[in-house]
Amino acid sequence: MIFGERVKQARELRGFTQVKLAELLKVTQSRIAQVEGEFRDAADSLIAEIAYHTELPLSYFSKAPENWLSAGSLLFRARTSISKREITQSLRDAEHVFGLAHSMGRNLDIPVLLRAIGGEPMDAARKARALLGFSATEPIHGLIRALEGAGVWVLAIPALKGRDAFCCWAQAEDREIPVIVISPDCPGDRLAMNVAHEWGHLMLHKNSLGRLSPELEKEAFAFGAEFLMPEAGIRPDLRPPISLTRIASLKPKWGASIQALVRRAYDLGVISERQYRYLFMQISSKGWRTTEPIPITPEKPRLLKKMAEVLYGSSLPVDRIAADADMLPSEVSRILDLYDDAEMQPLAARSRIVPFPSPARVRKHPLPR
Amino acid sequence: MDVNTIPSLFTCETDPESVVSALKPLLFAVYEAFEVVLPEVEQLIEREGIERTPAIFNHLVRCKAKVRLRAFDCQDEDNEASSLQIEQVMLDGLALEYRGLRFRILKGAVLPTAHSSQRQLFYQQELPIWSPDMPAPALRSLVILWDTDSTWQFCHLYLVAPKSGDTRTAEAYWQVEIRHPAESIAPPPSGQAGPGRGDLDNVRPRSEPLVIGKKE
Repeated sequence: MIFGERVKQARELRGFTQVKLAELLKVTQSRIAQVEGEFRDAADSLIAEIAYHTELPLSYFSKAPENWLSAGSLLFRARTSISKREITQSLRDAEHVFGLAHSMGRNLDIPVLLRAIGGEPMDAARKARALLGFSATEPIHGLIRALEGAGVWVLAIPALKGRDAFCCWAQAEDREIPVIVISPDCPGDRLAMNVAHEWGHLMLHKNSLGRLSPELEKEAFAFGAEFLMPEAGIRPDLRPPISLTRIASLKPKWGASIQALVRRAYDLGVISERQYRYLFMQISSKGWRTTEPIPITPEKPRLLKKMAEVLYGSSLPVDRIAADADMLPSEVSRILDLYDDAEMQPLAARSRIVPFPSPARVRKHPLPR
Repeated sequence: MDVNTIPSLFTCETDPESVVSALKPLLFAVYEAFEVVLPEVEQLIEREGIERTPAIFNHLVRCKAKVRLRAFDCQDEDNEASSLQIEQVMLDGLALEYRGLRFRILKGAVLPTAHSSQRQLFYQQELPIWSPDMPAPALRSLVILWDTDSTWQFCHLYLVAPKSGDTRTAEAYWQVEIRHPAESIAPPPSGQAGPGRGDLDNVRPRSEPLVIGKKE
């Protein structure tokens, strides 16, 4: 049996309109609509053609569609800068990678050691640092690994359209999984801020992710800034007079972009609005709005590859993984390449996580320290 | 001569990048000084209602830059000149000495002409007699040029090795733009690990379940 919804998902995953797919298949657009709406059975040859053009195995179309992910914080940008089709494609991309992760994760235990915090963003950010075992004042290195260690699924997807990251709480069977979707092409400094920002949404706005407002977006920015550059730690580094040279010298230490550091100085009242605007004019005139000096290597997520290693062994039999996930081996390889290897992995704060105390939860076997 | 001084190391035909590299501490200090003082002067002019003319603006920048450069431990040599030359220096630019090399910090994108005999001598690398046929002398004098755009924002800093000049022309061995100090800052090593990090040991097969979340 072929699910029309899966045909639609495949088409949207590859960014095709019905007209475009019809052109590729040399059929009418209405024929595609009929297949997607399951008004007419699709011939095996047509499904084979669709599978060829969407680079998916035939088994993909005979699997019942799942809607694990919501667009979450992705929807906020929908009202500003990206098209509906880009949103849909980003969501389909994320679902596709999540499907791969879920095909493995359903056979694994990955406890979620986080819960939504809520409250005032700055205070929540300080609690979040403590939760992950980070000091209150030091720069954070390895944020993604720390979050993965706490049960957040950080998914890098090859072609995230229109924005650098988004987040949602996925519903998979009986589990609720915090998911942060990231673009692997993002510079390391921006990636860290994006991840902290999305984590802020997960922590602060669990029940309002699908209807974020500018105010909630500001809260997530405030959370991310305080989390990555806590006032208690960075204020001594932001002694006036503030210049671009001084700000830039802080970038390697804090792993934050020059623009984020300038913004932080402004938010903490170290520089006036006039200085803030002047510094941003200088940044623009040097072309640093898009490409900053002092490149920070982006941190790769590890979780997906770790799941594969635990389930299939470190040799990673891509054909088997792909068959289990209803994907083509070439695509599985392409996705896994975005994740860190065990040998390379610099990070992972598993042993540093301090779980929230909860009377309902008792740990019989304490986590290793 | 001290072996660490620039004149003992470089001639006027030395690769400019080597000279820039040797002078990095000073050049970065000058760069940051101008970065800081230009917006300060903007603010001062607005706050005090001062008439904005190029002469006043540049003069205020020089005054504030001098204060900042003193903090960077760059020797201000205004007082070494004659009274007339002190005035000349104060009106036209800043004068510094660093590693045996003398600097003039002037406004503009190109080397200005030399109206005074002292400026001419400075441009000639302090050689009392200069001719185009002479071999490249030891590097003794350099000019740092700072410039603004049409909105009075600091936009360029140049290092110039002057060759000669008079009231109509000025010539240089070379002129290079000083890149922003941030472009010389080394990125941090990738994969900075924190202490005690593992490899996501929380990921386990279902046959070995963790008991988190279960009630006793």
